[in-house]
Amino acid sequence: MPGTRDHDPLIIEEFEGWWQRGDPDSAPSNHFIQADNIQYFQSGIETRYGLRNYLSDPLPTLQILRVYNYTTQTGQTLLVLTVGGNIYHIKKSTDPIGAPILHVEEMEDFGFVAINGRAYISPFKTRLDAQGDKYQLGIKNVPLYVYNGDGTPARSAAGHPPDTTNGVMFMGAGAGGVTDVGLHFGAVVFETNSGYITAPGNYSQYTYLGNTKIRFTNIPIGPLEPDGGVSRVIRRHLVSTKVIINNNFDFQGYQYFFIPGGTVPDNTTQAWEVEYFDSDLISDASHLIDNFSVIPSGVALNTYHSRLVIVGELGLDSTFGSDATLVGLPAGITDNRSIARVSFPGEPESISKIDGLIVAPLDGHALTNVQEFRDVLYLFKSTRTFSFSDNNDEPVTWQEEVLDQGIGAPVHGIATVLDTGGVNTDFLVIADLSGLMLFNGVFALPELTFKIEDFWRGLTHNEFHKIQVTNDSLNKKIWITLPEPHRKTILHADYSDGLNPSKIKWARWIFDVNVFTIALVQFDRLLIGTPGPDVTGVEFQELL
Amino acid sequence: MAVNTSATQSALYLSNDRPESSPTLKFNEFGLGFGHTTIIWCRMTSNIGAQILTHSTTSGALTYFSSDGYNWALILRDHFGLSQTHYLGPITLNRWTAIAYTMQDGGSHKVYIGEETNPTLLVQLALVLNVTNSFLLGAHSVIHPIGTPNNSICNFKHFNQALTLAQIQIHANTWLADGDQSAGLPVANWASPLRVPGDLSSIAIRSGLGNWTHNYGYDVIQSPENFLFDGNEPGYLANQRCAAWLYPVGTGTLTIANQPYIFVRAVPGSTPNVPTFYDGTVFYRMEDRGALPDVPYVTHAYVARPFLDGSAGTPPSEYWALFTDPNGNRISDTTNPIYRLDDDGVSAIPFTTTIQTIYAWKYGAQFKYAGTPTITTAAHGVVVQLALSISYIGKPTGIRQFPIVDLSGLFIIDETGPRIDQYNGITLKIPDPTIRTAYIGE
Repeated sequence: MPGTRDHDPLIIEEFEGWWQRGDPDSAPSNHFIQADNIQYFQSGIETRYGLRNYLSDPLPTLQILRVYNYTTQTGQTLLVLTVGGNIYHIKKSTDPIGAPILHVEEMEDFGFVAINGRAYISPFKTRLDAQGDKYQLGIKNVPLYVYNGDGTPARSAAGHPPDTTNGVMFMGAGAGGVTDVGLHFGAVVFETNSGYITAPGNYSQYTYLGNTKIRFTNIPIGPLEPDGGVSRVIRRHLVSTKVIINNNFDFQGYQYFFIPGGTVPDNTTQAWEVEYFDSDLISDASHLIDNFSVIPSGVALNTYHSRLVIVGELGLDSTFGSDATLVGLPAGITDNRSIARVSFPGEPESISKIDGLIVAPLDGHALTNVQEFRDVLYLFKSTRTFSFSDNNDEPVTWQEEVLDQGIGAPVHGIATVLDTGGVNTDFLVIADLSGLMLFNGVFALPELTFKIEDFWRGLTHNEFHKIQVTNDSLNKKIWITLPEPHRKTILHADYSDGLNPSKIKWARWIFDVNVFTIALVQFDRLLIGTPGPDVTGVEFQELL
Repeated sequence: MAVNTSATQSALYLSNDRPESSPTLKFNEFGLGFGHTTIIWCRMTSNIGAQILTHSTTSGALTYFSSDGYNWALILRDHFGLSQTHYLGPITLNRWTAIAYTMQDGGSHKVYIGEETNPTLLVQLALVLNVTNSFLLGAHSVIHPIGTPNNSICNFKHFNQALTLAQIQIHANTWLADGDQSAGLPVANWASPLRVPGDLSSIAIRSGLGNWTHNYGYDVIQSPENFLFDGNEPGYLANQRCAAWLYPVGTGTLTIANQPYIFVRAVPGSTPNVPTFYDGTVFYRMEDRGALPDVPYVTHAYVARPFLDGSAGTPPSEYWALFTDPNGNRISDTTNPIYRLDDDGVSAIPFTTTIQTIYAWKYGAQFKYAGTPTITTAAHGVVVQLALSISYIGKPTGIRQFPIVDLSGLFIIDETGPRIDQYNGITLKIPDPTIRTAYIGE
């Protein structure tokens, strides 16, 4: 054949996947300049796997916007957000879909973390600033929610302290006994079914006689939930001051302690007697006064040293009274976009309004993500990364270190690993505006997307909140959802030959539907969630 | 050419040649059955029998066109239950057939049938029945074309006067947008809204109108592109879908053969001495496999005609629409008259419904029984012939589209199955893989 007689065959020993960097002619010979709907195996390339329904019961049809792996105490389940602001809990793929566990009309997306089997859910939405830049924050006056995982509706986390709706509590003399003598203030705190202990409320006072037990009567009962569900209060605790020498009549101005034997083990008993000396009062309850009774929603949740961390709040206005976070802000400041709220260790719903926060540099950009890595807490903005370390003191005292002022992470831009819902392997994979980054304490350059840099750099920066990354560390694969106009595409990376820019192999997986969210289930099986094709409708050619 | 902008196009839904239900028209004001002419186009797609068109009367008598899957028939049934069946001719599957008939109460019935021959030829109607019988059918109150999974219906027209064959021929082959108003021709008192702008949902008091053709929702029509069908060619139907209605999911539950078509039924057993609501026992979802584009709704309505189930006893005093939204929440408002079904069997759909979610809603009814001093046996309340009526901005695309919800949900990579994408039973090929299989180094 003319022209091929002297042609030397090009032997490709190692195929390296998709290349989109620079002129197509510059692509190395062992790369494709187009690699759509393919996957890699040990010695070749093949068409990607197909899809099938995950749920046995697809009705009511769910238009999926977000999926999270929700690890309960008994197994791996899913939380899915659908169009219309409903979150469903899918325990098994074969189970019928029940009623949504949460409905928030404005919810476009949500942050999530599972702690002790409970799901903490934070609705958020995307906003547009005057410069046309999109950013995400929690929703005004929409709280952080807690879901117990049992199918009952999620409710707002934390809880309000007891009040006097059903009357004032009284303290008085009970049966014969022995106590210290003198004026004491008493109050009640509620303990909820998620372990949260409220601030004291329904204060009372009594001058102890010294020769009787102390009888609390008309102890307040925890109210029913607004939707008519059972009360979140499962037991109540009586708290008391020590003897008060100088009474200034400010109930909240004194230190309160849990009374030994003062736990009322239900939400019905209204009279209880205790007998104690002031020296028995050891467990302090005063700090509860400073806790949020309603926690503002944010965009990202995570844990650090057994603490719940939530970032990207818009805040609460006076609707929530003393819990308001938007009161007294300087003119023009309408949210708390750079504040991270941090709970007490082991008490995810106990967040102090006074010192349970850390403030990232106020540069006008909102916090987007939060992640613990090797004992350090990292806060991310879209192009910035900050680190904080626990100094065994209150979070407000933690020292800030600016790690990188050019690299950050979008709200779903840190890769989750397998079906655990976590992100830590020995590294983090982070989707930055400049590329997919490997982070092991520092950001490794060049980016993992080096070979497809032109494609990555063509993604719309304003839409990076639509990027979600998941990492199948078993099979060494990464999937990434993409913003428009690539909404029907997910990036697929195979790093079985090495997690570095030269050995990673890229491909595009293209579907007929918009892929809004991905997750791994059954350890390593990719699940895609979609609200369907384009809203304008799509003509389809059925294969069968 | 000037272009019509944002015309209010209306349709009683597109369902991929498979309309399932159809409009219910009431003619209380002008009566029916004394030399009135009806024209309807129908196409059978299988040999499964179907009822095509029903006239019912206030006395309980019925007149309906049906097929047993192989032949067309006209069935007359008086209110004593006596019936006559007149076979009208064989059915050609997948061929559009025009049926025109004029009947007399206790008098003569004339039926013309013509079948399209190819997409460019007009139908030629021929007289297939001309009988006189002594049945006393009474004044008809309702006329109701019926679509099923096995037949399609289009271009339905009714004239409250008898037409000549020549006039019928013109009307059957004419597809003017604003009704057939050629000079000298009778004007239909109701022309199918399935192909022209304006439909039931744009008419405030449906049963109170003498002429259904003059309530279109827009005022300027300058381009034929804005019509469901353009030109004047009935053969067009062979290649273009006929507008039709949404139909209930689960076609097996759609009982076509005999009246009453019970879809939603309340069986209270007995009524207490306080006014009480009872839910209908069945809720239905509607679906559309047609080409309705994703366009804004103008109006939409839920059609469900209330009836009694024949049992003796105190009937319901009121009929109300009852919905469940995609989340399973009950949606009802028995204080808002727009949700009441009694007057004309039409209820508004809750405004939160969208074109994306409408398929996930369920449609039902509830029945109110007035309180009685002593417990009283209650008659079963039913509603029949569920349908949706939709008006929207734009025009059908003419391209088959899957409803968005058909391709939404959670889907998992199938490592063991064939290399296809399956979405809720819809199987699609994997879009254009760069390569099928290649082995490196071999």
